[in-house]
Amino acid sequence: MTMKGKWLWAGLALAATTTAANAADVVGVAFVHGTGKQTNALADYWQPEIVNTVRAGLPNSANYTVINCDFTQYMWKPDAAGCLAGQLTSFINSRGITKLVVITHSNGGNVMRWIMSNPTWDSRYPAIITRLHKVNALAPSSAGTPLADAVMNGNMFEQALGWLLGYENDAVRMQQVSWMATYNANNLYGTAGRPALPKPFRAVVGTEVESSPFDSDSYCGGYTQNVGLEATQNWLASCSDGFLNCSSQSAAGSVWFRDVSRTRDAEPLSHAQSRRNCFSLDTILRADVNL
Amino acid sequence: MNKQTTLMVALALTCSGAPVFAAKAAVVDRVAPAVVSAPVPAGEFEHAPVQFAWALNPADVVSAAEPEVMESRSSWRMVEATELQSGVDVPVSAPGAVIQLSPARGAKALDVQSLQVREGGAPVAARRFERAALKDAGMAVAPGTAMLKLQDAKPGRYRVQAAEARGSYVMQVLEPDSPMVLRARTDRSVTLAGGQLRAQVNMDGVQSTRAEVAARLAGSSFTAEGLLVAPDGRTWTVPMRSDKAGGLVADVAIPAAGSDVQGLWELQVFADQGGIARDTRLAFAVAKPTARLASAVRATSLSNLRFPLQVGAPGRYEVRTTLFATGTDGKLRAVAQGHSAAWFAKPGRGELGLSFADVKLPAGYAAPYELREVELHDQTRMAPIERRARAVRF
Repeated sequence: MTMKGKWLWAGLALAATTTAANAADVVGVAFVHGTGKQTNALADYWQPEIVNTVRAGLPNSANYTVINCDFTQYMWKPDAAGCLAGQLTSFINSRGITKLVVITHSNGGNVMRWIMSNPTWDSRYPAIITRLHKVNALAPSSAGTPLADAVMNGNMFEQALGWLLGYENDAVRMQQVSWMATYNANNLYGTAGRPALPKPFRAVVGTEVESSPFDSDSYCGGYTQNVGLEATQNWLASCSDGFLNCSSQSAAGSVWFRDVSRTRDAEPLSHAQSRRNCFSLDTILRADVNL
Repeated sequence: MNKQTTLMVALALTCSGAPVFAAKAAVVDRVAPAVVSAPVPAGEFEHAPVQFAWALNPADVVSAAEPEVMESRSSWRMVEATELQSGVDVPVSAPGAVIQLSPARGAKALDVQSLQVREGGAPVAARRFERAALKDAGMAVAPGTAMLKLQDAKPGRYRVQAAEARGSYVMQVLEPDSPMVLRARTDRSVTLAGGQLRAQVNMDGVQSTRAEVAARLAGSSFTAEGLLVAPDGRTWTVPMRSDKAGGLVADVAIPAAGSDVQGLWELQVFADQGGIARDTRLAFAVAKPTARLASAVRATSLSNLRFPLQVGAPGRYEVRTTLFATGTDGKLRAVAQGHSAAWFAKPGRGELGLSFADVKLPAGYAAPYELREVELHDQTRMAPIERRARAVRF
């Protein structure tokens, strides 16, 4: 077909299970941050300890990248998914990656899911999806969060004056529960009844927040952050990580594990702890990155 | 005339002791009767044609998504400094209410320690959270926000006072442990500009509140009003009427011009029963018909699927569809998902092609095939234009 030659085409076989890396594979890992505009996510979002532990599990520990994009934008925007696609493409090409593992946190899961669900949006997406092995989504906000609704309550956009509460962030707006329900139903895959994503999207679910000043575990990820997450838990269901309900974290793809089933001493992971070296999360991710 | 098939799916949503939510969701074909012109919006857009397809596990059911039911145990309202200085009444239906105050533009930040809560003149103990704690958690609250939790307070009427208030504030009241819950849904999650959708709301759990609250609420009526909000900030009041089953409904007419700003439309619902307020937001997409499927989808083989288009506005258009194949038991199941997009520089006739030929289909699945869940998206304007449950069998 003359048509076929003109088209950038990719077809993928069903990837139902995760298999160990082929010796010929060049495995790489990318860390994708959550809501916010990052210029140094290694230091400001993840911290080097967890990145260094995880990449130590790679055959070549230099095959990693830490993404820095503007995730205050809607997920489909050039500065969000476009930026992520650009940095992943550069990483894949510069390091010759054939087997890409992506680790996302929070809203980073939505931006990655946008790329996986909309492969024709950008001609760079198919090559990324083809090389993508799996996404390990730490506390993904797949079904939004009531906290976004609470922030937007009363924060009406007035044409003459702008935002009433002086705050404008399309990523927060997008993560309102009803907004994510609509995007999941029309623009994203992997939720119940929708087509499966082309590659595995495995969620790590944080189920509780502990913030006792007498418990050293409450200091992992930042004591003040955990105290804050206990405050914000008031807006959430009984099962939450302080920022997201467990139901939201579990809404897309499959649940890899709920924190207490794998962490040291069955400690729960708050939303601040699920991107840090807390309760063996780092070593769990390290052991998985080459599988 | 556009041909519509409607599958009405009854929702039977029960909640411990709560009445059944009676709304029905419509999973409808969305067919544009004609196309409209529109300028290419500012921004960067892909121009290269792209196809992509992948296999699905036939054990997974693929079906049209019904709009979700939104639930709310909270409400918000604007309060002025003069009200807060003299005290604002806050009726609550259950222990554990959370009250959050956020200063609007130009208002004075509130010191959470200075807020007073009284019941019948007597001080009420409250757990207090400063903005810094909420901010540390990643909750993007406005500067000067203060939050109180009435941990052990019984149902009743409380007075919140802020002597230092200056300006306007958004007051939110959340009752996480209240059985009173507002449930609302629209009958579709996408509509075409100029179209219409229906919203239904119910207040459930009134009878499950404490006896004294239930007795007071029993004699009060359930009222609500809607506010349609466009992504560009324009608003329209939407009246609601009784559905004769204890709930309220509204038919929401969407302006034919739609909106040129990306993002979803909202129907904000503000409800009240006996002074207990609840509100929620229902988000949905509104698409301008900048293109349409011009005629029947043609399929001669898995490698040759043709989607004829009528394009009204320059832009990038995508078709996506789920391939169903017949199993050894004779039943059709979803076996692959395919997408195809290209840039169309001018209005007129066009076509998108799609091939599943290189997808390794699950063993035991073969012809006859069927294309289901065919959708046409305007990627330039982030708009899901058309949707057809079934397109062609081959």
